[in-house]
Amino acid sequence: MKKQWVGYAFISPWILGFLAFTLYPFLASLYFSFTRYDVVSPPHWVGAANYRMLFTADPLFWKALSVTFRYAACAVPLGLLAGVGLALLLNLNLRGIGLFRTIFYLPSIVPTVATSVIFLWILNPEIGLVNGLLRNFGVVGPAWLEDKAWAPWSLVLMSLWGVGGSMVIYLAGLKDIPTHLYEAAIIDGANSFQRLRHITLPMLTPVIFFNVVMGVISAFQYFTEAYVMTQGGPEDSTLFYALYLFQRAWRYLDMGYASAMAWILFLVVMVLTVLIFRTQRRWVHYGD
Amino acid sequence: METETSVPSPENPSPTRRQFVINAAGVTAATALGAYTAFSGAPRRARKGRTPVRLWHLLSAEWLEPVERAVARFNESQSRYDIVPLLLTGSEADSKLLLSVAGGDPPDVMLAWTQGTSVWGEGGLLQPLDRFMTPEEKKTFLTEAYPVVSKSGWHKGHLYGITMGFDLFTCYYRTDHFREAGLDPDRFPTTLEELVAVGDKLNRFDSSGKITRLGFLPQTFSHYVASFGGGFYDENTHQVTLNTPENLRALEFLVETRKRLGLQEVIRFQSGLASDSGASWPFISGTYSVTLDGEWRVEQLRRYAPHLEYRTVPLPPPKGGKSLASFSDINYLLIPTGARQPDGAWEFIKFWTGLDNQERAAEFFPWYGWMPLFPRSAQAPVYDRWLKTVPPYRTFLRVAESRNIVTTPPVPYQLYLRDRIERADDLAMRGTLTPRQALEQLEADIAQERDRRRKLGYEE
Repeated sequence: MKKQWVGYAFISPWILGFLAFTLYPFLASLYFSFTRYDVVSPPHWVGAANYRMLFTADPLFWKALSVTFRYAACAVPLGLLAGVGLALLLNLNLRGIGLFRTIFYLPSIVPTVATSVIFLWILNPEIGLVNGLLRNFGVVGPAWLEDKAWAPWSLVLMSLWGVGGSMVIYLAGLKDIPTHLYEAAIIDGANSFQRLRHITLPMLTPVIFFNVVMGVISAFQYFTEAYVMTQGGPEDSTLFYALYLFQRAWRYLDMGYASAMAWILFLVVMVLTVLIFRTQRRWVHYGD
Repeated sequence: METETSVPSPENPSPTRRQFVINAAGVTAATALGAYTAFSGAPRRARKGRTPVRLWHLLSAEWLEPVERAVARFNESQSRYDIVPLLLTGSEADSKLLLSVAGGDPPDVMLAWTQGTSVWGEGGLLQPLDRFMTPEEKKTFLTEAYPVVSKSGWHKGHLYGITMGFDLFTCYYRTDHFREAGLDPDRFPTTLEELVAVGDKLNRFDSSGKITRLGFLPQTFSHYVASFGGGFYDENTHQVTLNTPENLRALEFLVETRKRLGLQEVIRFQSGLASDSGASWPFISGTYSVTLDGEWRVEQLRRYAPHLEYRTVPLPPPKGGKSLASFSDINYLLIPTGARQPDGAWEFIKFWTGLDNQERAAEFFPWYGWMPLFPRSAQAPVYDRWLKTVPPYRTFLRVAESRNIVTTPPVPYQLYLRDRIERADDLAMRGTLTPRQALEQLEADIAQERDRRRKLGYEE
């Protein structure tokens, strides 16, 4: 029993931090979501009015939700394909492969703000690197972030810049696949595609599952790049949910309303995560 | 099971002890570095025997030193208060103020760039400054300050922010470009329509038809509404005015002018320009021949392009429009709710703005190249001496006297309104909506927002 308390004492800094800076704000925001609150004045109870207004009288809420859903629907699968593809390539036994792994991983540790500023230049329609390269082939590149049709896709493409983070996890997953499975498959005459299809990918599914869950959560919290690069424009085409939430909370001082938005976001992410968990029995193989 | 153990001795200290020493040295170095980082950026302490008054501001780079000089002047001028300035970065300032007020430890006075004093005043974030004013000070402020100054910062009968620097917009034009195009720089167009025609003569394109120099392109809807007799707020009825014939005319004019060059071509041209600030301003590089811009550029031109041939003139009105018209963005001095030294803060505000002595305060404004609050400050010898070194600045002083100046409406949802006005501008300029549709949608958006606020119990 005493040992137990010693253990608690050791983790008490974390427990206190969790209670004060995570659990309390989490529960407080639930209360605030039912109030009219501007942080400075005392909150005023309005019942479910914030939620009602969001669903019935705020077109920007739906716009932001749709922008975020579309981004998640594109960026997560694309990130998955790129991450697994890169990991497979970087799992080859080649000379200097460690260097390539480092190079591909490096972008994911560059701060997001710095990356965003660099991409502002890379995607500049006139003096940017991408359109400059396209011009060499006689192609007039799009206006990227300046064009409402291209801006969301620009951000989806840009998300691949940080794929090195998930790539490393996929790589670790690949290294964990027992070699005897491949040996047996080779003896049975399986070609490399069959080995990929029937051994590598199934054995990698726990890692894919983890990255999909994390990817969906982070896609719905997408903020910094849009805040730095587009501020929601052009024409609200990159008004991500978290960005609109931030504007409501800190720019328009509508903290109660923003809290309601945060809880809706939480529920959306929760439901999607539960759905992904529900499907795992069908496609995730734990090798048992 | 055998295990290997090392035997510690004085000559060969155990790895644990060695590790301890290394760790202790590391922790000490990290602590020293942390302490240095923390305290080197900390504001200085107030002088002994004086009451500290904390000032937060956002004036960095070339503006930092003038602020510190003004603070030093105030601190020398009396022995009761000591202003302790702290520079914030622009992006974090608003939320930092909000949290400091909520946390009960705000600054005593803040120089903010926000155009949301009504939002903050309505939210209880700010103290009404009119309560600090004596009747004489209030009278001076209302009757002697420039019209845009005396009418800004008010919300529901209270003054929540007092102007400290306000932007006005006039035409800057390159006389060398005029001459090169065979135009007489002494005869600047007298109507906006003529100016657009002159702009056509000043435009330059490359062999592929891409714009390389823009003669004149009216842009930013809010900067032009005043000259068309429009605006966003009726001061008599206290109503927001959006989809009015004057505003529509302004937006249509802007869109039609842009269409002549090609909507997409202009977007591409502008995206290829360098940064808009300081020495990178495209007017300096000659990418713009005539452009509508703010008064701070005069001092920057003197600093970064002292030999540039240019002049300034008020924006020529469109036919039937208003002359000496402009939009104005304003920097405000604020006293947050919960400030510990509001009286000291008010003394400093009076000193810096010149509310207590307009002639004396005149010396501060040339330091930043800013507009003073009072015409009498602008007439003071010290200010006049500076004006002689920057003659183009006089145009801004002429416009400052005008009553045709539009600002962000003082309504509790003013930042939302401002963002939506910019969006309507964007929709029309990109050709997604016609100007009429853009203004109709803007009006509908704002009506919906007002309705939403009403249903949530916010006051109008």
